[in-house]
Amino acid sequence: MARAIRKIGLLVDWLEDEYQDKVLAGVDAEAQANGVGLICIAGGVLRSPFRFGARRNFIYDLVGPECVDGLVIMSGTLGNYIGPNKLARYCERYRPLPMCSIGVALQGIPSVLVDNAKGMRDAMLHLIDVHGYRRIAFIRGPGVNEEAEERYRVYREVLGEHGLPFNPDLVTLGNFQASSGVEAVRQMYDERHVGFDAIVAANDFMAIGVMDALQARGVRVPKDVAVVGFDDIREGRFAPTPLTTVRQPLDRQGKQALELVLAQIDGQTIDEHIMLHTELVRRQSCGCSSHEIPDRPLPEITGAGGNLATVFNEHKARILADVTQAIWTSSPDVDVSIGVEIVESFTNSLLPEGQDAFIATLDSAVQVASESGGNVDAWQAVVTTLRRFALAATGNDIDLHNRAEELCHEARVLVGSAAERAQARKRLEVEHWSRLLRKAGEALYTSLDVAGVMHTIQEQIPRLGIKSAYLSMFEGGQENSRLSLAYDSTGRGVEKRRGEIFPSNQLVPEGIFDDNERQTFIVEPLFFEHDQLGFVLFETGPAHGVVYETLRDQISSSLKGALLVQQLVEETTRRELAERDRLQKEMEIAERIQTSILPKNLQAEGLEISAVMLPSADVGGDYYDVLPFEGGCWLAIGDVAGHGLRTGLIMMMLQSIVSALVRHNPWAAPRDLLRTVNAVIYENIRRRLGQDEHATLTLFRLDAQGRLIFAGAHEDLIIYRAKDRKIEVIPTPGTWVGAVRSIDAGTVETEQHLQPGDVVLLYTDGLTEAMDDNQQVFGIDRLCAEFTKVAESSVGAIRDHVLGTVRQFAANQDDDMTLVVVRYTG
Amino acid sequence: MSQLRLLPVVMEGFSIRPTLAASGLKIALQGSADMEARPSLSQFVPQAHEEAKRLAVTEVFVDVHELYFINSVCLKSLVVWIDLLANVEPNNRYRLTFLVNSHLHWQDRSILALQRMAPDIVRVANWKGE
Repeated sequence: MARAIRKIGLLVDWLEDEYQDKVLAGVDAEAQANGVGLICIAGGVLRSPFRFGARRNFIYDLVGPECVDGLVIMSGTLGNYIGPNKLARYCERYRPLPMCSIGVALQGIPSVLVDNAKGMRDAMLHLIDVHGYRRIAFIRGPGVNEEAEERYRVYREVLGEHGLPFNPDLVTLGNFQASSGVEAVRQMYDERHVGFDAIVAANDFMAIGVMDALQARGVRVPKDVAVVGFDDIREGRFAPTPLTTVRQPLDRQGKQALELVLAQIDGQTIDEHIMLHTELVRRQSCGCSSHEIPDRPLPEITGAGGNLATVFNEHKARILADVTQAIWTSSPDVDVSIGVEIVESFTNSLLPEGQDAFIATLDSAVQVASESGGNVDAWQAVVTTLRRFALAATGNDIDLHNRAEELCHEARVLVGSAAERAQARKRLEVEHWSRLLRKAGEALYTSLDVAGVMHTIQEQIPRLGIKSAYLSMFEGGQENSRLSLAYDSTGRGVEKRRGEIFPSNQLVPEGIFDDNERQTFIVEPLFFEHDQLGFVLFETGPAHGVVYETLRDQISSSLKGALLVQQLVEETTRRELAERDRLQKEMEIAERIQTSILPKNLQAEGLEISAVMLPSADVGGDYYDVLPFEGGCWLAIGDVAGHGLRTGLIMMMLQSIVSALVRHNPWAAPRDLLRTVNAVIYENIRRRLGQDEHATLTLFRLDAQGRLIFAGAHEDLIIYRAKDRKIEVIPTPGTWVGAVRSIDAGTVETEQHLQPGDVVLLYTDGLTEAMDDNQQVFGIDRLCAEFTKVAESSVGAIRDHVLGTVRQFAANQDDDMTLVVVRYTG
Repeated sequence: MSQLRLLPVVMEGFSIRPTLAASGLKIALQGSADMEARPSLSQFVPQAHEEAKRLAVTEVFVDVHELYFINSVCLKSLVVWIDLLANVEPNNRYRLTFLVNSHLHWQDRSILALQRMAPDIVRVANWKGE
């Protein structure tokens, strides 16, 4: 893919340690110098055995020609648990991209290596030859780490060369973490019960762990046990006992690796491997004296007390060598050539006619050391070196001697004060970042939905000095992603691209990167335990890798939380909809049951019948039936307490039982019929269904002579006496069915005689309890009054009038309404 | 007598207020028992039944004289109460007495139906003031 600006990828495990930070700084500096973009992908150690450690590896799968033109691989850390052969096979997936490996030689891939053998040999020789240690323990790295194994090989080789026995009990395996240094000390002391006078670790972190563990046991470093590491990281320089170590040119490795990748892109011929030198940095943990004062004796100075300038000139090379050594030891990132200025200004300041520029020069050098993360306090060694030469050279010249002492004193105060300021600045800086990250975390963790998380990230990113950021979440699988956040402080309008779906291996939708400016991005995978959520790109702002790593953790956790909430809401909504749907279907079925079993034929000899049932939206359990037989007609009306399908089923049971009993014995006594209905319903509801429904039910048997006998409990019966044109309200003094096993005691029969023209009104409580807007019920009095108005009309007209009035009274129908109008015609 | 362990229920338009008197446990239902009241009433009834058993009262008065309306679903809770009581050993049963208001039509119809359902357990009496 042709890109306006080339982009190189850097595969790195993570960015919390100085080792990775410095390599990244080297690659980035070279990328800037060459005008190419850099994409640093922090995907963890491949197949890390640590909890969820390998879960971030998925981000490496997104890397390819779609997003970069070449790759630098930090093999020294990436392949810690798989070894160089498997790592080389793993990297085959990136072909044909030009690649370069850092730290480990990979088959078929150009590599930038460091001379591990020389570094470890120097360290071992220093311990044996300079300090005379004989029982030297060793902490290896992960067994498949080639660099660590090379260091271990040299350890054994040097022991052999010096006739020192190799004792396997003095060797443990480590994992490059401080914890394995602690564990090594425990194993050797507590399990193997072996003693040692020095311990060498395959990297600085493990050596720092060793020093912590020894200190916890009251073992003094270096008085009881000397400790030496490898790498020269910041933590070692600032340890309570500064760590003697082997310095790797980390940033140089990064620069060199990028050069090799660019050369391959340009088709140049390159060396397969480039080897960089390592150097022993002697501090105090090995037993060397404080402030790295060169321990070699001063040369014999002739002409002492004479011309100081002449004496310094004569020994300039030696003085410069010692001063340079002191600078190099304390501050790896300071250009040692400043040593020349320091020595010359010091000499000048001591001369009677000389310029007093030393303090200013030293101050400036110390500032540079402080800003680059050097150990400022260790610059006392530079002053000590100068003083040793000055005092040796001043001879018996008391004035010169005093001037030298005064100048050195002033220099010591300057270094001491600068060291204090440097420490204070570091502390403030740490506090500053901690505060910013804590605030970012607080804001993120309290965002409960994905949109809120994105909004918070967008708010926090500028505060952290990050110029642009793009967050994408996997869409379905990992193949495609959705751009969920796009932020660019330069106002290029990228935020409009939110929501776009793009192939994940592009890292961002096409055209998002600024084609006019080289940029460096850090890509962090977003994951939570086993869930791979997506990834985020941060344009580098702060140089502290830990900022991006912390943000990754915070964003991943808050996103996971928000997604869980979202999932919960969606699931709840889905269930609610399903439940609503289920209820709706149930209602439809119940309504079908209710209406389908209503009598279709209302014809009965000697009667005019009109009936209606209006089910409410929330279906109730109204029931009525008209069952003519020769010589009369049965009427039934009831209401099952409750709503829904179960109520409908009970109503259907009622209809079936009543219908069957009536057909079996049309002249049965209503009371007996009702008792049987109750027994069957009670058995079915309570015993078989395990439910607690009951029903109001009144059964009427009307014969051709107008004799109306009824039993059961339901709404009062209303009879219009045509002869008197009066209304009678007759209670139904029974009890409900289905609630108790026997209703014998509470069930009585009532008898009424109808005359031709009399009209009987049967109804359910949907009419009498219909409510108006003022929560007033329609009531039986209104019902009687409305019935009276139309009682002489046809049964259909009576039905329509009464029902119409009720519906006019109550705007909303809350319950089923059933009305049966029966005129006895004789 | 132990202290009452029943909490009152007070909702907009409906309330249940239990009190303990020398004559027994008294529960006043007031307002309108519609669909809104159903969950409260259906939860309260079994608690009241258990409390009456715990206190070993001989009579529980259900004062409905200010209960102006009850729908069939709420009425079902009273049926459930009678059913619970019917399943208690006769010697350990308490009596359920409904204090009614004869001016409220629904009470004539429904409370009497309750009584007819279990005349040996349920008694109906007109409310005559405190």
